[in-house]
Amino acid sequence: MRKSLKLSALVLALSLIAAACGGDGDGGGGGGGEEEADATLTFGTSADPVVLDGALVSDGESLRAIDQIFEGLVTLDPGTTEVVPGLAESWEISDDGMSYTFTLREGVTFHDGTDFNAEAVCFNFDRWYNFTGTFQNPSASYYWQTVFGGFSDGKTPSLYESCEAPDETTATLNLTKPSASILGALALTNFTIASPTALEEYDADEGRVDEEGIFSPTGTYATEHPTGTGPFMFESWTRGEALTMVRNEDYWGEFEGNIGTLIFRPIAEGSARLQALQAGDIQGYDLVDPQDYETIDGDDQLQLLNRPAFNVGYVGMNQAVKPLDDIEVRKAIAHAVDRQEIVDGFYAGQGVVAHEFMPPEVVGYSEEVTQYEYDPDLATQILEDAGYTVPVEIDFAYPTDVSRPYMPDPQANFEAIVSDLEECCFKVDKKSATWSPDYLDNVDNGRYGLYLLGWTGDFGDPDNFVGTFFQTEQPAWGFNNQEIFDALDAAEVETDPDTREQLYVEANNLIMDFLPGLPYVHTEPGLAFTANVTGYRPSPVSLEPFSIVTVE
Amino acid sequence: MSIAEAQAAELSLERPSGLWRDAFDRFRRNPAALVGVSLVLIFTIAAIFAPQIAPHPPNQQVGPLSTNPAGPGGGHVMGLDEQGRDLFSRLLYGARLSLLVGIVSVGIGLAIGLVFGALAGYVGGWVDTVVMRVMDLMLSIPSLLVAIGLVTLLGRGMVQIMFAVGVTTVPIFARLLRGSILGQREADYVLAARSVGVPGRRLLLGHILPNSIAPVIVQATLTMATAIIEVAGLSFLGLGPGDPSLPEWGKIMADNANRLESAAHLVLFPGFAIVLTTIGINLIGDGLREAIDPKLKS
Amino acid sequence: MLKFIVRRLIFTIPILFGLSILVFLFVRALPGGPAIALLGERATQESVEQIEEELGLDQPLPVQYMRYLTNVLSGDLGSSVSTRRPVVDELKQRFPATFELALMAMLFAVAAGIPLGYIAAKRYQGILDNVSLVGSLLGISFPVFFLALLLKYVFAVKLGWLPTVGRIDVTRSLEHPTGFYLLDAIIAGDGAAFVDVLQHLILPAIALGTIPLAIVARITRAAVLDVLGEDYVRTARAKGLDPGVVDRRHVLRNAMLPVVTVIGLQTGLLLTGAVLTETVFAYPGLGSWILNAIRFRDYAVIQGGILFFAGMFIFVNLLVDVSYAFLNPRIRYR
Repeated sequence: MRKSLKLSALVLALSLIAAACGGDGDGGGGGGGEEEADATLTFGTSADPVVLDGALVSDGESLRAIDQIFEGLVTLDPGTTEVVPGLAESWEISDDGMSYTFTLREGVTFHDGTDFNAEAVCFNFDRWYNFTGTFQNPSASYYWQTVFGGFSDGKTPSLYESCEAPDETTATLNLTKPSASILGALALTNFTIASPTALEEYDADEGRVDEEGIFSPTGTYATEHPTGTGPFMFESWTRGEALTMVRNEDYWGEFEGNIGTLIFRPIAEGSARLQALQAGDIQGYDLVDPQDYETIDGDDQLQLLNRPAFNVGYVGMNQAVKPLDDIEVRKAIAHAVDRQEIVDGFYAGQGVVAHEFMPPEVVGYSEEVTQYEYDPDLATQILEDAGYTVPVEIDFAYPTDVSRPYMPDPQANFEAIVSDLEECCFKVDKKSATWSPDYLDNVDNGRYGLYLLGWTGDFGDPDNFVGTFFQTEQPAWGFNNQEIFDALDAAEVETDPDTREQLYVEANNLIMDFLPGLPYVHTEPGLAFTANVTGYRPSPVSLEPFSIVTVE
Repeated sequence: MSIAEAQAAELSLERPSGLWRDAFDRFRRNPAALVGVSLVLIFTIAAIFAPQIAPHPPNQQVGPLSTNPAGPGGGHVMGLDEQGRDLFSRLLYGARLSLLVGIVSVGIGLAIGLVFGALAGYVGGWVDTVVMRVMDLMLSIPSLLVAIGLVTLLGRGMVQIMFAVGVTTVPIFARLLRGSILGQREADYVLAARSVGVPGRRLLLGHILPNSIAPVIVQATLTMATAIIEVAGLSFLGLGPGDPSLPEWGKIMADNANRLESAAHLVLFPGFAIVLTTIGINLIGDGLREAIDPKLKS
Repeated sequence: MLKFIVRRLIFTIPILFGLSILVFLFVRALPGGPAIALLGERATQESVEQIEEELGLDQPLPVQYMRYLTNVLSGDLGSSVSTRRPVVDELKQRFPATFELALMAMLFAVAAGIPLGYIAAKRYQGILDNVSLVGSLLGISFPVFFLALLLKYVFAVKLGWLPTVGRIDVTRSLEHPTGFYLLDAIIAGDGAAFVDVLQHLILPAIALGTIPLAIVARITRAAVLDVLGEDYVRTARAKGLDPGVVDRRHVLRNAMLPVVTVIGLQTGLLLTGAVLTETVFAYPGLGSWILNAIRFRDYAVIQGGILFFAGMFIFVNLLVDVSYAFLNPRIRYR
């Protein structure tokens, strides 16, 4: 008996000694303060990617990984939403705005040695256009459907008409009608170009629908052989542990940084990511909790970076639920909530109060929208004048098990808003549900009155914000306001940039007079790194290449 | 069944009050049990008189909204939470919830479990087999998962949680009572009573049950402690009461588990509140067990 | 002996069946559906309907159950909604993780608990005895997740002695032929990796094993006390047998009986404690997997996971019964 006790004590002691001496998981090579040619960087993500085929995903973590391995015809200048050449060096738009001719770079190869050329580009576009069956599920091809609409089977009209490859370096995209936003859309990760050889060899288009109707790709392309042209190549992927990529030695472009091995490690909890960073297990991570900003800022071994504000957090109002159909009630809600206090308290200085449904950085932002000051007495007055007896009953829902950049702690926001509402002139019926699938399902089907939600932009276009919300009648908002629908329709198709901007400004004014919901915050989400990592450029749409990052 | 035990049973039949009196005396003289009673008393008082003792209402904002709320100091003995509410006041009101949860969930488990156990033990035969198989089935799934499953089905809310946790304790009580009754059924005094024609129900209710009750009481006390911890665990996993303003101890810990760096007080104080209450209950349970039968060691 | 085992095995079959029905019904009774789970923020009404049509949820329940049962028996547990992978594959990854953790926790509990209980009994009512009693009381009164949080905070974050999350340092590459990382490291002859995996296991195992430790210590103490008081022990001592021999040959072996039973019962506790511990340490095991599946309505995972969990639990109980019968011949012939 005593023997086994001694033995366990010995093992324990040995491990502790080993821990103190060696395995810190420090990824910076020798860490001697000099630049390594082949540094390893481990980055903490919030979850595993779903699959590594850009055409089939819409979640942030899949996109993050795909961004490193693949490239598209155009891309964004790191840190901005400006479209710059990618695999295409230049392009010309036809007079009628329906044909885009791209001149492609020469001498580029995919990771498996296949040549990159116009044929490969058209192969990819046609592949997406020809998706059938379950690949047409929005769960699979969300972004194709958002940008282009339908597929080759003609069930829904499509913006895409065809792709031509007259020679190796020229690819022409033909559209069915002119579009003002197509270039910005082509910079999306979902339209990156993959190797036709790999797509075919590893059955990228094989998928099965199982008992539950869930589509999963059965080929190994998307999980073991994603093949692009990007600065990093896929090496291995163990779910729940690590996705490993290595530098592409034959990359056509300039590899400004010094990362030789890039590892994405999924760690679900923000506090766990922070602790891993402090312990040296990772050298950076995304989605920093606001309560950790102070800790990171105060630590000289660490640094905090912020993405430019490109989102909006809001309280949605479903006008199908009385009394939210009454503008007076909506105004009273707007005046009853102290948005400044919430933004000051819960966003650690990285948020600003929102006055409309898109952030100032987006074209079409209006400086003249109606403002709703925090004034609970005014709110009570408005309600009484409109004939209501105070307190007015409303229901309000918030999601659990989720953290979004615009809403890091939904429960905290919820409680603060409820407290404001109840102190003023309302009686709140509190509801909640798990973010996915229940909460979103309920919101989309108009089952809540008030609800907490938000949105991060996909690309730098106002249509991606207010167009998504208010261009058509939707159960989540429960209203039918033809004036607003028409204004947004007109603005979307307008090709002259200045007119377009003006139209969106006017639309925003209309919207905030109508007050379909209460926007309350734009945030600058935080990323954390160890102090020896330089060159990372936070992007408003989270398109952040690691090829420009240096670990010292 | 040894002669000594039969005699003890006879004694208990003759003077039930004497047995309880002895037990009470032994309990009184047990220092650990008294410590337990004091702890539980403190929390009960805190729970009942929360409105009088608490310096602030539990949901009133008395400080700023903050992601890094202030710790103890500045007039707040345990600090503030992220909504600017006084933690000490919230914990006091939370004591009500915890004790309520402990009592009600064990009550539910006890009531249902006793019915099943008595049925199985006394009636026997196929009733016994069926009931015990169902209990086995319930025990085959770890209790936390059963509780999680029930809460997911029934929705979040204090009532649902108490029911869910209560249900998970049913097999324990059922088995216990059944075993106790089975042991008693063959007792000499029972056989003797039956042979002179004492009706079955009177025997069951008047003698067998009261004699089987002692271990059940001990188990109930101990189960109360685990019930409190299990509810805290459910809250921690995000399945706690739906109203976020309820100051349930486990929920407060869950909400602030990711603030350990900056606001450890929000995790430590409720955590130790749970620990102390549970220790108190466990001490009482142990004390009861020793008091009722000092020869019983496990 | 064999008859005994076979009989027990036969008893478990109806339990497993009942379990499968229970789980099947449970999952079907959950509100919401996997359609939204696939689509997230970007769902639209028609897309949801489209998916639900393919789901076949309009079939009558018994038909669905038969389909489900045939699939399970042929080894097809469906695919996970969130990762799109077959549940069986995920199980092969997740199970060894939790098993390793539970094993370490149990080893910790037994290796520390039995000696503690034994010594406490030998020095009955001495200081050590009282300390161990207080200690085990503390052990069962501490919520597992609180303990896990504290351990992690003190030893991993503040002191930095041990890692905070996961099973292994990701910069280490190790082949995984078995999925049990300790074994894999031994097979690969990679000593550093072995130590690394061990380091990742220490804190979660201690958190998980503390309650079993407390209980094992208590039971051992009680059992040893019981046996020490028995007549045959006093007789052996009176005859002049070396106390050490008496201890090992008689006291210990008979005290093991209740301990073994308790160890078996602790498995349920370990499995549930694993859910909490894995969450705190971001440990990729069964517990966190099932919990997330329940939260996010990942039907196939919930079904497969719970079935597997319970099945494992039943199997362990069977093992315990068998070893119990082995230790105590009187049981065999019942």
